[in-house]
Amino acid sequence: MNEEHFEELIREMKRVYHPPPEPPRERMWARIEARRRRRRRIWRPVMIAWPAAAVALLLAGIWIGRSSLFDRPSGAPESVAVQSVPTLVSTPLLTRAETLLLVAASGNGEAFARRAAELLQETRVTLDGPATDDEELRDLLEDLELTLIRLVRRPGEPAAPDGRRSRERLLARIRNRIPDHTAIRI
Amino acid sequence: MQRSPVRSCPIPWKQRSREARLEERDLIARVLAGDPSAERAFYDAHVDRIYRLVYRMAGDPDLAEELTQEAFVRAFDRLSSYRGEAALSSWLHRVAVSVTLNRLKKLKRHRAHEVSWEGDLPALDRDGPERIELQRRLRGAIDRLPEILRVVFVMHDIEGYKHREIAAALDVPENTSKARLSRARQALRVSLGFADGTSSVRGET
Repeated sequence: MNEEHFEELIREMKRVYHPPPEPPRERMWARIEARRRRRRRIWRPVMIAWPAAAVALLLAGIWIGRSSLFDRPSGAPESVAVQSVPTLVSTPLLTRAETLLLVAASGNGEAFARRAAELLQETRVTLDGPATDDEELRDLLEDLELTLIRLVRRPGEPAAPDGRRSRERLLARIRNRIPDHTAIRI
Repeated sequence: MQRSPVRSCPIPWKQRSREARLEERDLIARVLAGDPSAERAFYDAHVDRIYRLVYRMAGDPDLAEELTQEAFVRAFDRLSSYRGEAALSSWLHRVAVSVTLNRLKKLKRHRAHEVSWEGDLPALDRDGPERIELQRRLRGAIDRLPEILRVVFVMHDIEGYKHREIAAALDVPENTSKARLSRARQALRVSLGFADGTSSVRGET
């Protein structure tokens, strides 16, 4: 085998290595438009509601601070944690994802697959929303999306050890991300 | 559907004609103003090249569609942050490559314990069984390249991008692109038994 032979093989890869078909332009465009429309619908209320919520939270914080300055019962919290928009938006989803992943080991049948499919849909909608501004959260949601795709496609299939470990790691990351963790524990 | 005259071509900004730059600026301004026909023109101008590249990297029709869509959605969302340091197509390629590599990294992690992604090879009649076997081995070797090398190899040797285009799309110096191609090809030679891994071959840049 010589260099010329190698070059010839490389040239052949143009037709052999994942040769792309004609791009499905219209289908992709329709989906891009749909995602952007959905994103605008999600964003608008958040954009309007967030400044109002921030002002309300600030006023509440001042009021709580002042009222507790002179009369704070022992053991009462000293501060109020303010969550970011991506965290506020994603917390309900992550809480439900945690619950689903906990039962994934024994989960099979139509009901489980349906729940996983709903969660997958919700994850994708959340990925289209303000969560994408938080890189760590986007990363987590993308991993969740991949895990859910596998659960939807093969709900009853027992996970290989690697798959189980990766699900456990995902679960741990989800728990770390849920503020003031309140979801089901085992 | 009317096609835009602005064509996808990831060439560094300074090397492009004034006319092309003005056209792009106009298109960007219209997209940012929410003009649907400009959005479609932007998409039409770039989608074929982006899809081809993403498909070559992903090797899966559903994934390629999804990643192409993701790249455009992200590009539309972030177009307001485009400062014009590079040509629009270079910037878009950068977004697409970033989306693709991130996703593939995760998929490889997820698929590590699953079946190989290799499917049947598209072979011509003139390809004998030995040739097909060699092609299959080379394809597997390309799949196993580290992604930063594979993307350069695919862009240059498979899709025919120039090093200056690759450098602009990956936001690396041109020499880095050349060096990565050389490393990729050397790794492939070693995989196929063409070299022992200690030598490098000239003429790849």
